[in-house]
Order: sequence, then structure tokens, then C-alpha cells
Amino acid sequence: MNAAYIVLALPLAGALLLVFGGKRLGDPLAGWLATILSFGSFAAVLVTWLTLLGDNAAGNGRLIEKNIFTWLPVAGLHVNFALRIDPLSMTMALFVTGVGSLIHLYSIGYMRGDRDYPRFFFLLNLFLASMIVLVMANSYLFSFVGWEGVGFCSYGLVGFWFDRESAAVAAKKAFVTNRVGDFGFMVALFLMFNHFGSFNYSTVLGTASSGLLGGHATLNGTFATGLGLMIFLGAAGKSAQIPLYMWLPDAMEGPTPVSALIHAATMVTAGVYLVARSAPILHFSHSSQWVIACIGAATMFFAATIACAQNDIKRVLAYSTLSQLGYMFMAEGAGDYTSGLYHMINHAFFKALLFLGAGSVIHALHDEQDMKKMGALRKYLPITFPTFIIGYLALSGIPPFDGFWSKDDILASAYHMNFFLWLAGAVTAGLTAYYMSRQVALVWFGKARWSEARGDSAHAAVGNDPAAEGSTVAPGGTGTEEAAHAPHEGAHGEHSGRPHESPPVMTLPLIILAVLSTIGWLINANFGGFNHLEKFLEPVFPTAIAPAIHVATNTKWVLGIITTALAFIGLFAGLRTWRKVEVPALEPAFLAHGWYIDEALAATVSGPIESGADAMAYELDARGVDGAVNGVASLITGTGRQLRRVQTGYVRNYALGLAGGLAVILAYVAARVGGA
Amino acid sequence: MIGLLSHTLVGQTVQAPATGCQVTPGKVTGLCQAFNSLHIPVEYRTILPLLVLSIGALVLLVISAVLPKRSRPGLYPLLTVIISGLAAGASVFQWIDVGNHAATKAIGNQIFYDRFSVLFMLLISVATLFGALLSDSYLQREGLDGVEAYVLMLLASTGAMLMAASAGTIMLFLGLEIMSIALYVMTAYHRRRAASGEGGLKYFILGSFSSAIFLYGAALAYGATGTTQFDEMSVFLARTTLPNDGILLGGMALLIVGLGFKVAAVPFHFWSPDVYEAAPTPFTGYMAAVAKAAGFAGLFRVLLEGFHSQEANWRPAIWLIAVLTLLVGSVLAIAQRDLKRMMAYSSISQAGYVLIGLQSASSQGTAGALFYLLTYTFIIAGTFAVIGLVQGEGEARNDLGAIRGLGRRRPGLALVMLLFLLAQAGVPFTSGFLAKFYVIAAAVNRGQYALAIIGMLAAAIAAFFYLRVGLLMYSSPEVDETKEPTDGAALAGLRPIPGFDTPREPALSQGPGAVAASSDGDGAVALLAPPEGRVEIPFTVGITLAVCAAFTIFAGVSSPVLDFAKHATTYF
Amino acid sequence: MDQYLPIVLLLVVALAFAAGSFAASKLLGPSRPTGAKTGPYESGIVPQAPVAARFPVRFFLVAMIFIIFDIEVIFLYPWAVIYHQLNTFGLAEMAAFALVVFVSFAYLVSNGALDWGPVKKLARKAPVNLTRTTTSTVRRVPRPDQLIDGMSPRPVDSEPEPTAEPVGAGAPEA
Repeated sequence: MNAAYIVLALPLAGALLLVFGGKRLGDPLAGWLATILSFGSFAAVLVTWLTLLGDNAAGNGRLIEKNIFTWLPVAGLHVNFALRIDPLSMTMALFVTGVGSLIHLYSIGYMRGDRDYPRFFFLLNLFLASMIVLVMANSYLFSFVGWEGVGFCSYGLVGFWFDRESAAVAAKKAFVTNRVGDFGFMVALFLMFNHFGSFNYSTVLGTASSGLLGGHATLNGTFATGLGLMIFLGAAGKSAQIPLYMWLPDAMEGPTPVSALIHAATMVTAGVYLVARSAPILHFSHSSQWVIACIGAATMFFAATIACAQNDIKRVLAYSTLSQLGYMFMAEGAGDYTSGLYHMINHAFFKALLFLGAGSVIHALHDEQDMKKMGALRKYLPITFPTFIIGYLALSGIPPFDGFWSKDDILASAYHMNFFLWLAGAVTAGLTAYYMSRQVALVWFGKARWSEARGDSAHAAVGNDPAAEGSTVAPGGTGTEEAAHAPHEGAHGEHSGRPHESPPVMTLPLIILAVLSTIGWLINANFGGFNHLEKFLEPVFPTAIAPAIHVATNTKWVLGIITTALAFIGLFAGLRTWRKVEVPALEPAFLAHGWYIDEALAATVSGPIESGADAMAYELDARGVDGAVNGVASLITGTGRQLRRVQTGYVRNYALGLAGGLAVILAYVAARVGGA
Repeated sequence: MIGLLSHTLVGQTVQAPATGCQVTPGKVTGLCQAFNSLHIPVEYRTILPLLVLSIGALVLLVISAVLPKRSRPGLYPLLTVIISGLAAGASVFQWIDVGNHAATKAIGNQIFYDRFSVLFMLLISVATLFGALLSDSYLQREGLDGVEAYVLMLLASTGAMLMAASAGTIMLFLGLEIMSIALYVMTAYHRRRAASGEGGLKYFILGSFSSAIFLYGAALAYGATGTTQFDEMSVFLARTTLPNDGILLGGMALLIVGLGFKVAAVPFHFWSPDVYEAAPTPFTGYMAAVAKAAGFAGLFRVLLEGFHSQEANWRPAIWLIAVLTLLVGSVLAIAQRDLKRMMAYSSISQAGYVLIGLQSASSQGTAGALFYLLTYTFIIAGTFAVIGLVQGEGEARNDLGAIRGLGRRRPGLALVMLLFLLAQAGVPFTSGFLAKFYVIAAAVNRGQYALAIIGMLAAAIAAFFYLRVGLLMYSSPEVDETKEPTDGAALAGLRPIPGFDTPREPALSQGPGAVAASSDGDGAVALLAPPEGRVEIPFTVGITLAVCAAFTIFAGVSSPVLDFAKHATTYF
Repeated sequence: MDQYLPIVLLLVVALAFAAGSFAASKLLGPSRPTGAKTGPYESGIVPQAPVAARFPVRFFLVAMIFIIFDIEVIFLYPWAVIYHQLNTFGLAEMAAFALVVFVSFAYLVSNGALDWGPVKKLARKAPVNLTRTTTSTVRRVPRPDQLIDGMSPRPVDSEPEPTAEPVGAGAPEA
């Protein structure tokens, strides 16, 4: 069971090695080191998982805690930093390290020639370690450490090319937005400590088998709602749900492997994990479950509409990620945690696949990201193309690819909760198929628009991209990775303008992920006893916390058929519309601009709020607060300078000081004599 | 004794005075013991570390007398390390021994054999060990190597241990003097630095003052209570209501002043910046750890043992001293530009926190204070080890500029220094944080909110100068030419006068105030360029740094050290 | 009263001895002073005021060492008085005490503190420090015309302006 320590130790050691010796290792050794350690971590997770499986569920409800160290043994508060090994944390750790390792491998090729190569892998390894802390911690507090750690790594990686202003701004936006969510998380921590006197999952949530919360058989409904909503606010920040979603599309400023790892597969699912982990609390608050389901549904639909009108290959996928996260939250709100987690795993497979495929395309086209300047690439990228298509089918919910199965489960549960939730989900499924078909058609089929685009100045077309134009952060949606990737092209040497397939280190992860996306139904398909995940997670979500959702088999069939039909309609509509030789300009500006939310915000903020903020910043803060702070500081320094004069260097003066002090104390004593 | 002598001289038989002289086998109390049983039982195991150190000092002297001069450069430090290691081992043995038996008084009731004293014996042994390790390379660099430094160090430690173990004012005074006299000489040890001799003399004069004050206080306390033993004092004071407690309180005040001088509490701190700067750097580190620990051991013994029942009277006095110590130490440290002087003020400020622990007069406060002293020993040894390395030969560069750019020149060294600075500033995950936390928690538990808040404020002020040094280490080593010296002291374009407080040229400086302004370290002074050349880390110093850094982190993230300190308060 | 007689006697003998010594040296020693012999030598210049007598520092050393060992002997007195009651314990303690003092005596001898011959170099020669030249040891005060460019002559005791905060020192006023 000590393999659990290794899970955390390896990426942490990698980060340490790279921060100190990364420069010496250089390119590509640093990448290989990080990748090997990451795979080692994955292997350790496998060993831990197998041990957990062997450890029979009877007695301990499949729960093992491994203490790392105890900090602050202060009266009453014992903060143990320990690893919690249970089905939920193992599920998370398995796909986090698994997908993470593949993306590490991919990055070796993708980041080739970047001047900050070691820094990239340092952050990647640090991210992996933080993510492991987040999912394997035994307490909310320790999870919060990982939570902030991944936030920091996300900041560092979105702004990896920090010399580009848009990247720096996007990183800042991501960080600040996340802080809002973190605020919710922290309030939840305080509430929790106040009520339960502990942060430990075991104490707060009770053991999985008994389902009791901190010794309370029930929880006050209002308190549970408050706590649940605060936890959800934290989750919404990390998982980019309405209203804290704005940072995720902008976060595409980071290198593509980062988008795949952090902003599709792992970090953004931390919120989903946190909500699932807090299932026993949510169980006592029906209203917070409703809030979660509704916000999830709203994000799901809203993001899917925007994705239909984006031209940047990565932004489409980013909005799609938002939408899919919405599905997961809707499932969790409906009380179907297993489906939510199942969809999360599947999503990690196919979305990472799509992002990496997009990265391969960007790589091939020398950092072109505008889909309107792509087309007909299927002949040039013989490996990327089929894998991308598999990811596309999986995301669109076409059977038998894995996306279909989890989406089907979620929609059934949503239907059980409320018809309109289901309706939104089904329509979104159609929209998903549509925008993905649009993307596939624009990138892989039709006429090759890239040769002339590359022939002219790539920057001339910037104005054509409404999404980029409308965005407050990214002034140039096209060629955003261009500047930083200049050495990248040089490294390849074959700068012929012709698209070329990526090297094997990049295509191998694509193939593996494609296979996983194809056979994902093996994990938890809802027929024929394939519900492995459900059985595995049973100790974490006993029926006392998450009652089984019964939907009649016939209803399920009907719902499934309707959804699949909608998906096929979307599929054909998308392909037919966008496979044309002349690409029509069909995107409604309303959608392309993301419902004008950013603009509306910008208008509000630049109006009275901004001038108010300016007043705060330049008048109140600079004069008032800073003045007070600096005033105090200079007061102290000044006092120091004046006091220093007492230190004359003359022994006689020192002796006088000594005698003075003595006199004061004697005077005090004299005043007390005979007194009390 | 005088009375006893004269009586015997004239050949008269004198009856034992009737003042509570009780003789039971192996245990004698009262003043009369010499007459009834001159065979005083000596339990050597109760002073084992003391014996090891003092015999070790003698052995060193004999070896140096027998061997030809300067035959083996590393021999004396090696022997000192072995001796202090043995003393540490003896302390560990004692710790277990006290645990197995109850705490007792020993050797004619002059020694307290309890975990409190054993903790200090261990602390002092370890500090001596570090002192020897650090002194070796320094003394060789300065051409001062010889047996004397190590003998003095061992003797000072002996005195410090005696202070911690003393069961009465007489023994406390003996320990105080043994320690102090050795420290005076150690301060003046650097023969070729004029500052060193001057500092030693200042320390000696002022130290003699404070010793006299202490002795007078002991006499007054004896006059009021009729005993010099802390436990008997405490019993007497608990039983008796004095019609006039003037003498008692006066004695208490004088004792506080005498010991307050040793721990450099404000306003008895004036010697400390001068002496810290004057003493050879490794000795400064040793002094900051040992003299302070021993002084506090004495304060705890006097106030919490002897004057336990007078709590209401001494706590306000200590409150005031603690507040002054915290604030003056932190504020004045900001105005320093000399590393060693800055650390002196920092150490004054740190003493304030231990005073907070003392002021709470609870076992929690005592545990916090002991933990503080224990962890501070490691932090301060490490800090002065780094300063000793960067200052260069002849202590040429003690100014803040010397440490500038260390992060580039020696990243490892800078990292360790940063750790010690952060620990002193009280940043979490270092021992300094927990130490501050526990004393402040103890104050809060006794309802001393104002003191707790002032403690936190002082920590905030102090964080400034710790972080300033931290920043300097990681700032670029090039000197910005546009910000060349503009103040009076550096006007000449030469080295500024190393912040020593001597009025060097009175004609030039127009009065003592001006001298202080130009020499007592000025906050606003342009920094000199860092020294050229590579900072070499001798093996012994490297070992010390590694151990200190490891301990600082270890004690900051886990509880065994704290438990250790908690056990040492059991006597009270 | 008669018990104080030996003390008085001792006093008298001591005084007589001191007086006798003075008288004997006056009487026995040859004394043939001349002007050149009695006058102090000050580089050939006639002194204007009385000058300090030259006096080997070794005398001080011996005096201090004497005091230390004298104290040892003083400690022997009270011990001798109750020697019988203290028994072997006292003997052992005094032996330990004597040993400690003897060790310091051995140390003194080995360091040459009691050598009274031609002066032996006690301290090792200080290493030659090449950086110590007149430019580093003599403190120079610039004349106004020698001021470094742009620097205004300032009185030494004026407070430096707060803006002259050191580079990178994290000035609080920033």
C-alpha cells in the first residue's frame, strides 16, 4: 500500500529536479524525465488500485488512509496531511495520471525547440503532483492545498508564453476568476470547521458505509444548503460553470497540451470531483442539488450555442468542454454521481484526444488556429485524422463510442429529475453534434484554404475572426502560438508550407486515446453487467446518500433513441452545411460573440464601475491606503532612526540607560509596596 | 561562612543555630549543615554534563600545555566537539534518569535536578557543539586559532548550565559569573580588531554593573525571606504575609534587572548591539544562543520558582519589559545597515517573545518559551554561520551589501539563509512560526490580548528587515551607480565606518549625536557592492548549516520537539 | 584582648620589614646620579612636563598571576580550619581545587608567561594584509573641491534624505 506515497512522490521529485536541474537536462531530456516519472506515478496508482481491489470491501468500506505528516498539533485542531485511498480517489487518480502521462509524452514532441522547455515540464509535473494531492487528500484542507496548487500551475501554464500580452492577461483572468470560487471553498471550510470541528473527509462526511455525517444522523437543511452552495461556488470556479466560466475560453492562450491536460481532462474536473466527494452533504439539501443541476444545464446549453459559431479550433473545443462539464454537473445535481464521474472519465479521453489532435493540426499548419484557413487536411495527416474522427464521434454521442453511454445515463437521470432538464440535454446533444461536424468539415474536408492563407500574410485575416475580435482579451485569435513557436519551426527544418504529420511521440498518445475512447463503454455501460464503475464506487455513494434512480427500461430506450436521432440530425446538418467549397458565413454574431457577455461586462465595468475602480485605485488606494501603509512604515523607520540616537557608543550613556530602567522598575515596585 | 570562621578561630564551641536545621540521612536543610554533617552528599550524575564540560576544558588546557604550539590546527575544535557531544549524551541520559525517578534537589540542595535544567543542559551542549564547529574555520581564517577560544567556550557553557540548574541565588550568581567572565573574554578575542577589544571592555563594565545589581537583589531577597533557596523562598512567601514587602519587592526588581541584562531585554539591552558586532561572528552566534538561554533559565527559576506567589507583582513589570523589548528591538533593527548589529536587535526582539511566554506564568507559556529558546538556538547558529562566511577575512564586510547577490553566488547558502530569516520572521512551516504561535497562544490563554497583539505587530515590523535581507540576497549584485552613497557617513566614497559606536574622531563628528547618526547603522544608506570572489563553505560550517536547517523545518512541521519542551515544564 | 596580640605583632613585623627594606636599599645601593642620568630621554628634546616612567608590561602580568594564586592560598585557610571535620572528602575536594589551579599554572608556564629572560615573541606575527595601505587605513575627508561630481557637501550630522533608500532594500516608502 506504500505505493500510494510513490504516486505523489514521483511527480513532486520530478518538479524539484526540473526546477533545479532542468536547464542542465535541457531539451528533450527534461521532457523525458518528466514523462517517465509521470508514467511511474501512473504505475504506482495501478498498484495501489489493485491492492485496494484485493482488500476486501467487507470491513472498512474500501478505505485506507496513509498519513504523511501531522502539522500544527494545537489544542483541538489536528491537521493530518494524509492520503485517502478509496474508490473515488482511485478513480480520479487513475485517469488523472493516465491521461496526464500521455499528454506528457505528447508534449515532448509538441514543445520541441521552445526556449523554456524545462520550465514547461516543471510546471506539468508540479501540476500532476498538485492534482494528485487534490484527489487523494484525506481532508478538505489538504485538498485545498492541491486545489490552489493546480490553480497556480494553471496560471503558470496559461501564461507560459508570458511575453505575449494576451497570454499574460488570460492567465491573470483565469487566476482571478478562480479566486472567486476559492472564496466559496474557503467559506465552506470555515463553516465546516465551525460545525464539525474537523476538515477530514471521514469526520465530516462519515464513513462511507454508515453514511452518517460527523456523528449527526441528519444535517440541518439550511446549513447543508449553505455549505453545499459554497462548495459548489468553489467547484464552479474551478470547473468554469456559469457565472465563473469566462476564463476557460481565454485560457486557450496556453500551449495546446496544457489545454488538453488542464483545461479539458483534469483540472476543470476538480469541481466535479469536489461535488461528488461532498455527496453526503448535498444529500441533505434538495435545493442545492437543484441549483447545481440547473446551473449545469444552463452552462451546457449556453456553451454549446457559442461553440457553434467559433472559428478558432481551440475555442470550439473550449466551449465544448464547458458544455460537457455542464452535463456532469447536471448529473450530479440529479443525484447520479456515478454517471457524472463516468462522463468525466470519458470526456477526459475524447476531449484530450480532440485537443491533442487539434494541437497536431496547429503543429502541422505552423501555428494556424483559424478553422476557416484549414480544410482538406485528411490527406496530409493520416494518423491524426482517424483519431480525431473517433474523438468527434465520441463527443457527438454516436454509439458505440464512449460518449454515447455516459451521456445516455446522464440524460436518463435528468429525465428522472425533471423533463426540461432532459430536454435541454437532448437539444444540447444535437448542438454538440452540429458544432463538432462543423469543425470536422472545416478542418478535414472541403477545399484546402491554408495554402493561400499561408501564402499571404497570416495576419491579414485577423479581422475575419469575430470571436477573437469580440473577445476582450485575445486581440488576435489567429496565429496566437506563432510568436512563441518560432523556434519550433526552425527545429523541424522542413518549413515547406506543406502540412506534415507529427512525430511518433505525438501520434502515439493520439492512438492510445482513440482506442480508449472506442472501448470506454467497457467501464460502465448500462447493459449486460458492464457497470463496473458503479459497483466499484458503491461504497462511496451508498443508496443512503445517492438513492438509485429507476427509469423504466422502455422509457430509457425511447429517450436514448430520441437523443441519438437528434445527434445524427446535428451531425448531418453540420457536415452538409460546412463541407462546401465556399465556406458560408453563417455564424450569428450573437453567438460568435458569446452572447455578448464579455462585451456587456466590459461595458458595465468600463462605465461607472471602472471609473469607480480607478478612483479606488488611484485616489483612495494610492493616497489613502498606501499612504497609511507607507505612513506607518516611514513612521517606524523614522522612529528607528530617532531611537538609534540613544545608542551613542558611550559606556556612560549605556550605564545611564541601565540605571534608568532600574529606576523605573524600582519606582513601580515602590508604588506596589504594601499594596495588593 | 564568615561568622562561622571567626567563631572557630577563637576556639569556641558554637551550637548549631536553631533556624530549622534538620538532618535526615542523606538530606540536610537549613543553615547548620556544616556543623552536624560536613559530609555533603554529592550526586555526580545530577551535574554530569557540567562535569564533562569543565573537565573537558581542563583537559584541553593540559593538552595545549604539553603539545608544542600550534601542532594540530583541527585538534582543539575536534576535542571540543567530542566533549560537547559527550555532554549532550550525558544530558540525554539525565533526561531518561529524571523520567525514571522524580525530580530532586541535589548536592546540598544547591542544584535542581529536573527536566527543566536537563533541557537547558542539552540546549547548551548543542549550542557549544555548533559554536566549536563554526569557530574552527573562522579562527583559522583570522589567524586566531588556539586552545583558548574553546576552553572559554566550554567554561561559559559550564556557567550557563549551572545557572539553569541552580536552586538558589548563590548558585545562580556563581553560574552567571562563570559564564559572563568567559563571555567578556570571548568578545574581546579578536586581538587585531580594535572594535573587538572595545566591545569586550564595554561588556565587562556593564556586565559588572548588572552582576552587582543582581547580587544586591539576591541580598535583599535573602533579607526579606531568610533564605537563598528558591523553593524555600516560595514556601516562606506562601506561608507568611510580610508586614512590609518593600525589601522583598526591591530585591525582586533588582534580580529582574540583573537577569534582564543578560537576556538583553529593553531597557537593559544597550550593550548587546555593540557586543554582538564586536565579538567574533561564531562567538556572537554562540552568545546569542547560550547567554540568552541561561539568562532566561535564571529568570524562570527566580520568578516562577522563588517568587511564584508574587505573580501579581512581577507580571506587570515583565509585561512592560516584554512590550519595550519587542517594539524597540524590531523598530531599531530596521534602521541598521550592519548585519551583525541588525541581528543583535533582531535577537532583542526575539527575547521579547520568550518574555511573553514568561509573562503568561503558565506551563503552556513555559513550554512555549522553552520551545522558542530551543529552536532559536538552531536558527541563530545557522544565521551567524552564514554571516561569518559572507563577511570575509578580517570581518571586512559586515554591512548589508555583503550579502547582496548571494543568491547568484551561492544559491544553496542563500536558500538556507532565507530559511533562517523566514524562521525568524515566523513564517509557517518553520520552527519560528510554531514558537511564536505557542507563546502568543499562551498569552491569549491568560487573557493577555494586548500583549499578544503587540507581539504580532512586532512580528510584522520585524518581517520587514528579515525580508529585506532576503530580497538583497536575490537582487542583482551590481551596484546601481546612480544611487551611490549620498549620506554623510559614506561621503568620502570609501567604506562607511563599520557601524561601531565609538566616537572615533570627535573633532570631525561634532558631538556624540552625530557620531551615532553616522555610525550606528543607517537605514537609508546606499549599499556597497558585494565582495568579489567566491564564498567558500568549509566542511564544518556546511554540516552545521545542514543540521540547523533540517531542524528548523523539522520542528516547524512536526510535534516531537514541542512535546520535548512540554515535558520540561513538569517541575513547575 | 590577648587573643588579638598575635595580629598586632604580625602588623608590626610587616611594617618593620617594609621599612627595613627601604632603608637597606637606600643604604646599601650605590647612588651616583648625574644630570644626564636622571633626566628622561625624549629624542634629545628637553621635556617640558613630567613624563610617564617606562615600565615593562610583564610586571602587570606577574601581578595578576600572583593575585590568582594568592586567592588559591586564601582558600586553603578556611579549609585548613575545618580540615578534621571534612575528613577525606575535604582532602579530595581540595586536591581537585588545587589540580584546577595547577592546570592553569601549567598553561601559564607553557605560554611563557613566567619566562623572565630576553623577551620572546609570544603572539604569532600577524599576517601581512596587503589591503591595509594608507589609502585604506587613513580616513580622508574630501575638501569641497574634491567632491565627487553631483554630490553636495553636507554636514556630517545631517539626516540623510529618505529618498536615498538603498537599491533593492525594499524601502517602505516605496
